[in-house]
This record gives sequence, structure tokens and C-alpha cells, in this order.
Amino acid sequence: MTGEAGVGPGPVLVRGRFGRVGGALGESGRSVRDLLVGLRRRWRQSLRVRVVATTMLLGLLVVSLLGSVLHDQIASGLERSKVQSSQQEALALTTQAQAYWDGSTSVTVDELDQAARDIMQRILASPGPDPSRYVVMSRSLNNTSDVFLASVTSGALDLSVVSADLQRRVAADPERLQTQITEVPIDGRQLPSVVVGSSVEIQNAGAYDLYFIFPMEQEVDTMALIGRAFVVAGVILTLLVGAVAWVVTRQVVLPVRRASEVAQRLSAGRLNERMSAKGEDDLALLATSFNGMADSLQSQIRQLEGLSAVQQRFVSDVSHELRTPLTTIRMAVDVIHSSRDGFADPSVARSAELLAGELDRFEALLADLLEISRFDAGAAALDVEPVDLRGTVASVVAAARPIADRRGSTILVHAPDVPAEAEVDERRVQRILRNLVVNAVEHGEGKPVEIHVGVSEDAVAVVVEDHGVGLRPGEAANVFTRFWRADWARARTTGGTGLGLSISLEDARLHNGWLQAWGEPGHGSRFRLTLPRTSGGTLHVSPLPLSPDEP
Amino acid sequence: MGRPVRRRVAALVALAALLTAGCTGLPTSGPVVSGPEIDTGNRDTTELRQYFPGPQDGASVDGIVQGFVRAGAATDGTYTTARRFLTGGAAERWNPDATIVIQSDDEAPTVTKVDDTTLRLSVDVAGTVGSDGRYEAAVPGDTATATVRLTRVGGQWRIAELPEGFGRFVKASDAPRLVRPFAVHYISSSRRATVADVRWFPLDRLAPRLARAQLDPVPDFLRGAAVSAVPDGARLLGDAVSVDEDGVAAVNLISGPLEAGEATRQNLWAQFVRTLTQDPEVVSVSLSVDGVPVDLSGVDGPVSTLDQIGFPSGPAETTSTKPIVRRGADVTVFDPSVQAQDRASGRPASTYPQIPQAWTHLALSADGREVAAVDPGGDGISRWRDDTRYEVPGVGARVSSPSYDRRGFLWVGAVADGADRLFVVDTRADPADPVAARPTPVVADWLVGRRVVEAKVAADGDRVAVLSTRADGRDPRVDLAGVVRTDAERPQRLAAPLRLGIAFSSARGLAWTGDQTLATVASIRGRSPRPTVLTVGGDLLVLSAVRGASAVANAGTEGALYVLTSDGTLFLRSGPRWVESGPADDLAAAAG
Repeated sequence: MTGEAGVGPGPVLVRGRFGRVGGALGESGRSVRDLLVGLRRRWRQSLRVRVVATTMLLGLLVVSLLGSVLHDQIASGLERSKVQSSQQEALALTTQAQAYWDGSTSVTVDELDQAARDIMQRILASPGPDPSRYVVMSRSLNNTSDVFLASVTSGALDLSVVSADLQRRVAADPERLQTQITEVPIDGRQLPSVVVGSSVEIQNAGAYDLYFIFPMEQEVDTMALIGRAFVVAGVILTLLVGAVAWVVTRQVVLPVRRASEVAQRLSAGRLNERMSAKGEDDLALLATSFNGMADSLQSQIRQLEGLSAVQQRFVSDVSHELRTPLTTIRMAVDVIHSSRDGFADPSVARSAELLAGELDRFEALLADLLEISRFDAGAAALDVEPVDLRGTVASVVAAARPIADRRGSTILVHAPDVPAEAEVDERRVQRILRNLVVNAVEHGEGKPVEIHVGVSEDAVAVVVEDHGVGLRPGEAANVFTRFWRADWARARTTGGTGLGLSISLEDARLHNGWLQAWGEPGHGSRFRLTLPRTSGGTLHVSPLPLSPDEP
Repeated sequence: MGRPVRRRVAALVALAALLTAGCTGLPTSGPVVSGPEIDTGNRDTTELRQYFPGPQDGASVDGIVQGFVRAGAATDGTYTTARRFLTGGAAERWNPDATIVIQSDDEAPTVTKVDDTTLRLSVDVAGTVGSDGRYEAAVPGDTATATVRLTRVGGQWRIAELPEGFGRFVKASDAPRLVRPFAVHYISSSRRATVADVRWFPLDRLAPRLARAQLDPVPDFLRGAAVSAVPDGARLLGDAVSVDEDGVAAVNLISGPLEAGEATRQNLWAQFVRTLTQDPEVVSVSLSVDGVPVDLSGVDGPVSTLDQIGFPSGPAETTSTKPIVRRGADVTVFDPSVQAQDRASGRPASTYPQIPQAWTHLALSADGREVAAVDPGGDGISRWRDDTRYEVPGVGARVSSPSYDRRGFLWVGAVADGADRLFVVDTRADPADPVAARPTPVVADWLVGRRVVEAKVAADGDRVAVLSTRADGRDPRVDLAGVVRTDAERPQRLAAPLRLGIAFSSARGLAWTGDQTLATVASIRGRSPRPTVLTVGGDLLVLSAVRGASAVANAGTEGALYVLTSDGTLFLRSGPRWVESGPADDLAAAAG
């Protein structure tokens, strides 16, 4: 349950966090990591990179899917037609061979072997030097004839490329062609081939199987060609899709970027910045709407500025106007107060005392109001000189000692041995610190108040800590609000005008410093003032932690 | 970009990677798939087929042998059943188309036991067909024997040994459906025509058998008289000729290059077309050598007739000259349709000269302008032109009966200069010219020591049938031989003889009764002589007897056979009977 509030540039904190992550990495992987981190940052920061990358990824996906489906379709189509043509060829050749065997007058084994050679060479074997088919003739598995013929092959392939399964099927069903696709070594290449098995009946020698092996050489080459074409086309298509996405996002992102730049300038206060709205497309509409919004904002801001100025003027004027009668009242009250012992009625004397006291408060309130109105009017100016804050703290503590003694609180100062020197307006810093110390003593419930002074390369910090009632969650953000009270029921008995912390915050801001509050119910609260050591410098980190849990 | 979206993209990428990995292109293996049915091309479903039982378990040696012989009559051409009676080795050695013994009856072979495992089979034989297709007629009553040895295979008797060259025993009634004669054709050396060589072939796979026989070189008896256009060493692709459904026989030769020239290719076509179209299944023939169709101008596709290839297909030179008949000395035109009694009625005077009966053995030339006869005493030849008789100079003694061939030569056998010779006389020359009309010898080594009784040239002029005897008149035999002629068509010599018929006890007369048939009057084993028909295929048919038959003659018509008796009567063969055709002393057909 930690409430934390602060004033300071957000990106600075973010950068700090990443700096820490980077520091935790080893030196070796730094370049790769840097690259990855850079890519990731680019991914996160650039819509265009994201869109182009995603589009290309999806394009690649679709192209791969489409390519693979087409590839498969073409392959199966080629395979089908090859099987069909192979079967037709084998059927015709088988019929022709069977006709020859039916008409053959060969009787002896030698004659039959000669006939088998002739039929293989002249009819079955593929003509030409580059065979489009290989033929193997071998005895059928279920041939029981006593006559054994030599196996004949038409080319480099023999029965070893025919699977036992195919041989069995041909023997079992010789009336039909049997087809199988298998891989066959041809010219040192494993080529998928269609093997068609059939059977011829040879008079005097029984059934002999014919195996026609049709290598799918052309089909393989075709598929390789198609595959290459697909890859090239896929790459080109993907790049094209990426380029299209690039162009499209460029058309969208550029106006959006312009809009964001304009918005940034608007937010920086240059309310006259507008987008250029040309054409009638969606982006022009956006620009028009944006400009309308800017117009409306500008007029409202102007209005509010006017109102605010009137208000500040009113407060300032009222304060100034009150000063003159107040001076008169003061003199009158002083007279009455100095002669209070002369009043017979002690109640009148008491009234005079009260009057003087309330007038003090009134004067203080008026002074604070005037101070605030100076801030609001931008009239506050710094009068800087190098100051050792340890001295400032000591003087503030000394001044607050009487109040602390009254409350029964002790004030402990933890200051470093080195000087905590910074270029500051000491009066304003004193005012801030006094405010914080008095607040701490008042809310400290008699417990000790601790003051820490810290210094670093480019900043000094003072933390004022009490151990009193503490702040409830959400209250830390409100403590700097004008006239804000933690407990409205609590009587405004003690000093505060309700503007002290607001003025302190304005003072800190005037120094480009931070004033932050932390608190936890039952543990008290901590206020940290951090100031740059050089006037006009910027703060990155405070030398002291805000909450006690921080290291 | 939210985390779920990123997860979805990752899933898609994974899916794409999976699909891409699953796309393998062409398959490298697959299951066996049944394809279309193979058309086995069995067309002869209507043909009569006979299947014989295989060997029975426990059959006796006798049963095995008889079963084997019976199964040899199967018509399937593979003799699978018959092979089952044999041991593996014997089945491989056995060639069912080796010597085929054709029985003269339908009796089962007589089986006699030589010892426990050896049997002798014997059958009465009508003739045998050798593996070369030559039919050798057997003398009636002859037997053929075969000794076979059996062994036990798996407890069953099987024939382990058959005699060398044993083919089959075929019963007489089975023979016509198993084996028949067909002509193998060659090209005549002296004219554009085919010359037939008749051989016997088993009827299964007839076309390839005929084609295969056609590849053989010219047989000895035609060597010189005929040539073959088939290149030496040619063989049939797969030993096969396939006949498709349209009856186209595809002849695919494997051989060296053909001799150049359109005529050679034409002859090749003619030989195969004439030979193969004898197979009733073959309608036409396609011919290729080494896979290239044999090109012939004007021929496209299969050929069914010789006309298509421009080869002369007509029969040998025909003659319109009518035969002549001699009654007494009268020589007249013989008209078979005119009955004997019509002879008396006034017929136009014969243009032929009177030839006294002393002159015997009339012969009539093809153009009918010349008649020849043997001089009285048999020591000379006379030729008549118109009414003039010319004596052929220097013929010699003991001349045979003369005959003319259709190319103008008169053939006559004679004994001249002490040697028995065969002569021809060129009738184209002037018969009065003592030089040109002289007979010139025809060389025939195989006739040395024999005497020519009859020499009859076939109508084609390329073959001559010679009836010869030994010098003492015994051992008559009929031979067929090709006639080798010079460029001027003069017969020069005879090729080696092809013996026709069987060994006769005696034979008289010889005449061609057809292109492939001859007739003679022969006696076998001393029985009474009977008219006998011989074919050039080798078989013979003994006809019923004619009392006193002394000579045979044809009358110029195919198949008609006349027999002359010694008492001057003419008989015409009419089926199994003889019909008397009136009196005649001699009958001569032109160039008969």
C-alpha cells in the first residue's frame, strides 16, 4: 500500500529503468542484444515496420500455402497421367508380346530363349539410345513348368527393382496390370518410377512376368522447375506485398505523424499550430476534425486563461486593497493591545488579545495570498547564490526548535560531511524547509522528526520525515493542493494558512527541482526536496530515496 | 499488437511450415494398384478342342505310355497334358513336332515289355512326317516302333526316355486335324512365278510354322530351278507370326539387309503371301525386316493376293490345245464329253496325221502343231508336223516315251553312246535341220546307271517327274527334280531328286494329273498293278484296279485321270470307280 506522487519528467524514469536492464547484461552479447533491443524498439515504435513485417509474413504464409497446394496438385496430376500412359503403353506391349508368344513355334529352351531375346529387343525394349522404359522379363512366381527360361532385361535394371509385393500381386492376378510407384536407381540417380507388372503365357514354358519400368525423369525435372518458379514467384510476391504495405502505411502514417507533431506542438502551448487538410479522404477528415478540436481547445483555453487571469487579478487586487485598511487596523489593534491592561473588563482584554492574534494570522494569510498571486502572475524571480544546505537546514531547525519543544518533539539532522552546496535562492529554500519542518513537527505527534541531507554529482536533496499519523493512500497527491486539509474537521488552530505546501511546490519548481511526498498511515510521512546543484540544471535522480523502503 | 494476435500469427506460420513440409512433390513409393485388364487375345473359342486326361495316380507303366500317346493328339499345340506323363528332363527334351508317325489305322499302339522299366510300342504306319516336314509314305503293312524307358517320380511312373527324334504317334482319323500338307513357295529361276514345295505341318500355329519353313533355303530338289528371296540366316522375331483379328499375319524378319531391287522385294512378298494365305485364318500378310516394312511401290498395308504386289499370279502357261486320241491309226481330237458312239457320226476331218499303230507312246506339243511317237522297235523318235514325219537324229536306242514341255522342248529318255541319258529336242528349231534338231543331253548325275521310262515335265516347266528303273528294269521309282535351264530356256540339268511314293515292284506310265499330283500304274510288293496317285507332298493313294491297265494319261483338265488298258479301252476315274470312255489306243494331252 504505497502512495507515491511526484513531479518530474516521466521519460527520464523510463530511460533510467532501461539503463538498468542494459547494465545487467554481459559485454559479450551486447552487440547482438543491442541489435535485438534496437529491432524491438523499432517494432514497438514504428507502425510502418509492424504493418510491413506482418503483411509480408502473412503474404509469405499465403504464398507458401498456395504454392504447396498447387505443387501437390501438379505433382499428383503428373503422377496420374504418367501412371495412365505407362499402363496404356504396358498394356499395348503386353498384348503385342502375348500375340508373339501365342504365335511362336519355339519349342526348345534355346529357341525360347532366343525368342524371348528377340521379343524383348525388338518389341518391348525402348527404341533409341536413351530409354524411356526398362523391361524385365522373369519367370512368374507360380510357374510350375519344368522348362526354365533365362530372365531377360532391356536395360541396366533387373528384377531387384521390382518389389516382392508387386511380384506376388502379378502372380496372384495375372489377368490385370499391376502398378506400383517405387524409387529406382538410374544413372546414379534415385528416380521415382512407375513399375507396371503384367504376365504373359508362354507355350511350353508357362507364365512369365513382364515388368515395365517407366522412370519419371521428366516429371521430376518438371517438378523441380515448377518448384524453383514457385520460390521465385513467392519471393517476388512477398516483396511486392511488403512494398504495397510500405506505400499504403506511408500514406497513412505520414499524416498521422504530422498530426502527432502538431499535437505535440499544441500541447507545448503553441495553440496556433494546425494540420494541413487537403482533399476529401479519411486523412483529410482526420485533419479537419483535429483542427476543429484544436480550435475548440484553443478557444476554451483562451477563455479559461481569461477567467484565470481575472481571478488572479481579483485575488491580487483584493489582497492589495485589504492591505491599506489592514495597516490602519493593525495600528489601532496595536494601540488597543498595548493598553489592554487598562481595561476593567478582563473579557475585553482577552478580546483585544484574540483580535491581535487573528490579525497576525490574517496578515500572514494575506502575505501568502500575495505570494501565490505573484507565482500565478509569473512575477516570481530567483535570486540565486551558492548555499550550503547544511547551514540552511541548521538555521531552519534552530528557528523551529521552540515549536518542537512545545510539542515535545526532537529534531534529528543527518547531514553528510561534505558540503551540500547548490546555487539556490536561500530565502525560498529556507521557506520550503521551514514549512516542511513545521508541518512535520505539527503532525509528528511528539515523535522525533528526522531530517536527511543528501548530495550527489548534480543534485542535492533534503528529506524531512516524521513518524506521526502518516498519509492515507491518495493523500500524497493532494498535499500540495491549495487549502487542502487531511482532516477538514480539524480546527485550523495552528499556524498553517493552507497555502504553505503550495508555495513550497512553486518555489521548488522555480528551481527546476522536485518536491515529492510519501506517506503511510501509522508510519508517518516523508517529504523530499531535490534541487539541481547548478541553477537551470535538470534533475535525473535524487540522491535520497523518497520512501524508506527504497534502497 | 496484442499477445493473442501474435500467438495467432505464430500458429499460422507453424501451419504453413507443416503444409510446406508435407508437400513432397512426386511420390517415391506407393502401394501396388490393380490396373486395367489384359486382353489375352484368345479368339479361337469356337474351335473344336479336345482335352486328354493327365496321368492318373498309381497308373501302370502301360497306362502311362498309352496315356502319353493319346495326349499327343491334343490340338492345343502345347501338349501340356502329354508332358505330364514325362519326367522333367524328358519333357524338356521332347519335341512333339519331331518325327510324327501317322498310323494307318486307329488302333492303340501295341505295347511289349522289354524289361520292367522298358517298353516297346509299335503301330501300323501309313507314313511319317519328319521334323523337316517331309512326308515319307510307308509301304502298307510296315510298322513303326519306339522304345521308351520309364522311371518312378514321387511314386508314380513317368516316361524318362524317349527315342531320339520321337514326336508323336497320330491315329489315322486324327491325322487330318493335326497335320496336313502345305506348299512352301520359291521363285522360279527361269520365269516370274512361284514354285511350290509341299511339306507337312502340324495345324496348330500354322502361320508361324509356314513362315518359319519359308525361311529355309531352297530344297535340294529345286536348287538351281528356283531361288528364295529370303536372306540367308533370317529368322522370325520370336519365332512367331501373329495373326490379328482381321486375319493379318505380321511377319517380322530379323536378318541382314535384303538384296537390292524392287524384284527381290516383290519376290519376298510373293513367297510369304502365297505360303501364308494357305492358312485359312490368314487373310493378308504384312511383311517387315528388322521392324521396317518391306517397301514396294503401290503397296500400302497388308497384302492378300499376288496381284496387289504386281507379281504374276496366273497359272503356268496354259494351252488351249485339246488332247488327241488315237484309235487305230486315226488321230483325232479327244473330247471327253463326246461319247464313243458319237464318233461314227460325221465329224470334221482330223487335222492330225495318221500315225500307224507301230508307233507308240504319242505325245502332243503344247501348241498342237506337232505330234511325237516312239518308232517301231523303240529305237527312235519320230515327229509329225502336218503330215510330214521327221526322224529325230541321233537319239539312241531304247527310248522312253516322249513328252513335250510347255516351253517347246521334247523330252525323251534314251540309251545313247552306251549310257542311259535324258535328252531334250528343241522343237522351236527346224525339224529338218540335222544339227538344230539333234537331241541335247540333260545332265542328271542321279540317273547314271538307270533307265528313264517316263520323263514328264510339270505344267510350270520347272519340275520334271521321272520314272526310272535300273538297267534290268527292276526297282522302279518316281522322282521329282527341278529343271535347271539355260538363259534360252533349254533344259541343262536336273537338280537332286525328291523321291515320290514308295518302293514299287513295278510301275508303268506316268502323267501329271494336277499341279501337285501324278499318276502311275504300279504294283506294290508284287501285287497286281493298280493305278496309283502320287502327290509331290510324298503321300500316295492306291486306286481300285483296272484290268489290263497299261498307261495313265490326263486330258488336259485338272484332276481328270484316264487309264488305258492293253486291250485298247479308256477308263475315266470317277470317284472310287472307273468309267469306260470308249476305245482308244493312245491318249495324249498337249504338253502332258
